[in-house]
Amino acid sequence: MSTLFNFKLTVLLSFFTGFLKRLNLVKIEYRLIMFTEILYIILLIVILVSSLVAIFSREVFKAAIALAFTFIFLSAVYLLLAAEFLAVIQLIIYAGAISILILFAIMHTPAKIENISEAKIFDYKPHYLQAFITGSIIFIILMVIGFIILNELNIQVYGMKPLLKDFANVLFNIKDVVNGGGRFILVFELAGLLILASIIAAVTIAKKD
Amino acid sequence: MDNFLVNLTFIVSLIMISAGITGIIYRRNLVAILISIEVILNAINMNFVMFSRLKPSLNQALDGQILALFNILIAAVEITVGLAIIFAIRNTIKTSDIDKLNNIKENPEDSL
Repeated sequence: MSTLFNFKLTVLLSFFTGFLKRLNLVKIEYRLIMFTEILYIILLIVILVSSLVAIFSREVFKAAIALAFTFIFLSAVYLLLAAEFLAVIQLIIYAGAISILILFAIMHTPAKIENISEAKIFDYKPHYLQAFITGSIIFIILMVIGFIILNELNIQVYGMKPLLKDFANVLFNIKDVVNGGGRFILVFELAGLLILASIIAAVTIAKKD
Repeated sequence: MDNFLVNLTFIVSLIMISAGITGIIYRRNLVAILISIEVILNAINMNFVMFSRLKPSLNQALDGQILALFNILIAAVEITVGLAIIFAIRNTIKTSDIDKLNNIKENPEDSL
């Protein structure tokens, strides 16, 4: 059993199977111990496939929809990994705002005139090889460095679950210095300044003269 | 089982990061390049949240999630300014293909 996860769906399922057994409807004893782990692996596979579709799809609209799917399933992964606040933030900002912004931009940019069905499926251009080589070199470098670090690391899950009040304590509470309160308050203020600057920059750049 | 799941998450996020970098070079559409950058940032976020589960104290477990929070914020800022630049290009030379954006010359009348 893995302790990586926040809650066990096994509890819920065993409630239902026990209920069915009590009604003598189901004779077979279900053993769904690994259910959360299997759900997590399925979620990872869905995230991987939809992000690859988002990157390599030929139609930009399909790519944007696949990106929205990536965001939503990633928020489910955050829920399993005991980050409920981040899951909600992910749903609001990414799946709510950024997907809509990207769809808005696709709607307002000119499409290519050429017919997609008449275009060749794979016509070779020189930057394809450059992209493939760069991607594989970065993959190999990150893989080697990452697995050296992961071998050094003794993987043990402690299962600390931060609550919303801990977020508030770290972000805002300057008086509680002993427990690390207010550690990130300067970064938080700078982030607000950054958002203001980006809004001004976006309006200034995109406005029609 | 923990070891396997941590390694699996790590490999998935590595594939997403390198595929995103491949996509930045491979794609010719400006919006598709922004989509690739979003995929990279999400993969990094997934790693932050997963590794913060391995920390022994509450403060260290919070650090990963707070870094992921600021990463989401940076992604929002980046997509805002990037889409504004795409709109500016749309207004001036009416294209979304980066192969046509090669006319930045020394004469300011020829440039964007």
